[in-house]
Amino acid sequence: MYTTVKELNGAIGAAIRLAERGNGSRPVTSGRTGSTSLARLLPLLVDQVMAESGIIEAAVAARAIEQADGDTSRAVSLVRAWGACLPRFGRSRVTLATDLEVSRRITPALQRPEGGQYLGASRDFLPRLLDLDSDDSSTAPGPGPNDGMDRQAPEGATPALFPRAAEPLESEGVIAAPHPVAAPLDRTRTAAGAGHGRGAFLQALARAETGAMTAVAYTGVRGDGGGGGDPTLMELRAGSVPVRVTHPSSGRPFVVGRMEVTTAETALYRMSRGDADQSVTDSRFTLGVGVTVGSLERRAIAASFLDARVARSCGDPAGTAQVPADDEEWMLLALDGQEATGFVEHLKLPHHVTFSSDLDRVRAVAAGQDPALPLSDEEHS
Amino acid sequence: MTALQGLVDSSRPTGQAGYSFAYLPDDAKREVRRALLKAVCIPGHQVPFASREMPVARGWGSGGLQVTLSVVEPDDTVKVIDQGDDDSHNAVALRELVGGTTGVTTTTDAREATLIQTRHRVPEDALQEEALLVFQVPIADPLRTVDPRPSVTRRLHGEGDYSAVWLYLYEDHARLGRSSFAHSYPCQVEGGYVMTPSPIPRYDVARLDGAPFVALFGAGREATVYAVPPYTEVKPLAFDDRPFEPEAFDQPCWRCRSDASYRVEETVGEEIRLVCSDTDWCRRRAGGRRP
Repeated sequence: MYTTVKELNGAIGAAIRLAERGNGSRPVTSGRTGSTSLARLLPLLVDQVMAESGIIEAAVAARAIEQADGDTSRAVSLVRAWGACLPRFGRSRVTLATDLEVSRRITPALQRPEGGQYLGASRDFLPRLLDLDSDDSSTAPGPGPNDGMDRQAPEGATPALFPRAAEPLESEGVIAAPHPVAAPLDRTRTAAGAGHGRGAFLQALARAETGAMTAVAYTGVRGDGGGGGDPTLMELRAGSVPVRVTHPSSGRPFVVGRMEVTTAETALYRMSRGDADQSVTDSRFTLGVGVTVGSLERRAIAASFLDARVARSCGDPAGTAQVPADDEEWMLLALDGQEATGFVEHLKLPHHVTFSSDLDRVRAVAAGQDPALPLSDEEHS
Repeated sequence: MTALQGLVDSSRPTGQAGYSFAYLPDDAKREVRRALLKAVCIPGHQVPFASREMPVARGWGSGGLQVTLSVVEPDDTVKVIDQGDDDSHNAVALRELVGGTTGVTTTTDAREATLIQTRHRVPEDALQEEALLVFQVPIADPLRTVDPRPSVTRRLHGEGDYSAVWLYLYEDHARLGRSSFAHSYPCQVEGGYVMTPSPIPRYDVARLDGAPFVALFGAGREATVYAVPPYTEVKPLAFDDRPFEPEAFDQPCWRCRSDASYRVEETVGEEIRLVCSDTDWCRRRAGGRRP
């Protein structure tokens, strides 16, 4: 009953061969179908794997997806393990939000932001009708790069660099300054521990599992934890940013490449619920920031919302968060897809030694040989 | 694809199968070894480290593997067991990974091994000072049971405040007549930190106490290592009048007739048999018959 599945007759090899043959029940993966075409056919899937891996190289992500039969968790695992053995040459310089060369910009909070809105490429308003006739729906004409220009935008403006929509409100003082200030920190090369702050949290959100992060954000958006008022998406923008590094000899910044990102800024009404006795009230907006590689927009929106929730509750006494969406520590533990999927799936491993230890306890208690300690009501109260 | 090829090529240092000796890059090994040194100096203390993503899933031995690959040397003889069994799929896969990236000799005989990576057992053989035991740890913090927040349990460990575990233990005795801790029994190390001895059974906990070997614990998902140096007291938490109870077995091993080993159940037809979980040890006692 509790016998270990043993590797006595090449069972591991046979299992791998079965998996690679497709087990007869699903289409055979035909090996290298060409990661480039996969990246073109399923760009958002590639974006997701790049984002959750924290490694931005579409061809690698596409190859990993293929090798993992489309299992995003396994693909991320492949890419991250690959990246873990690569040397780190340095760090990039800070990229400003306004460096983003915009191909899409919407500002749900503001009807007429400076610079205008620019719908760009989006399927948001395409009816969700399953098309069973077309062999390849990806060839259906989508919005082109010059469609959807907001009429309010200046005549003839080329979508490029825009000011942040929240900037005027920050100048007016109704949005609190970013708080706490995020210092860049790489959790993958830094020992875990206490007090890594907002920079570490933002990195965790940038790499968080898409579904998990969306689920937690959802619980907050639907009102769990209260705190006054709906979140408002100030701005969502997509486009490309330059990656600049410092030249090792001249010390001058230079661009080594560009990457596609989507950024979101979400405003929450009320910066802080105040200190423990509610004597402090700060009624400004709290702004949260979310950034993701690629164009999977819900990742950026969810991250910006969760950043805002955590920033808003950062003045609360430690450990008093009532719901996950306010609880930075909980999210740091729960939202990494690799940690979650790995540990849940480890239950497939043999556990007969620990289970037999459990059995011993359950049987011993059932046998009831030892009388319970006397326990008076007084002691127990 | 040219940029990609450059990246791929640069990730291939000289060494077996395209990777460094023992897979991990040197800076990763240095990180783990530093943490281990600290862990050995502060027995039972959970030392955080920058856990790398390994070519196995988180929760599948990634911590034990990082420890093993950081300390293994070319002349080591390595044994890998899962639940005491060398032939378990997981043990085989990890052994092949360690062997394949180092070229070291592997063995199933605990007496020959200088480095043993284990999931949840201490081998039955009496291990000596030469042996290094590396435990795979799923949950590194014994206080998780009483508080899920690391910020809280770190403080409790720092203050030596283990009252919540003692209370838990007291309530067990009051309600159940016994401690409900099965495996992962909380232990105090040399009168200091309370640690979870990975989920080894209670039978093995007693065998860690004052043991001559170095015990290293690696939790990859939780990015923590800790250690018990040789000849260190490992004392399971228990009240004076409610002694610690290892697992009890009502039959000897069906194969080797041992009545002093840790045994697990095996169902054959209608019959439930008890057999040793340390398969190599049992096989030797039973005269080489394969379990």
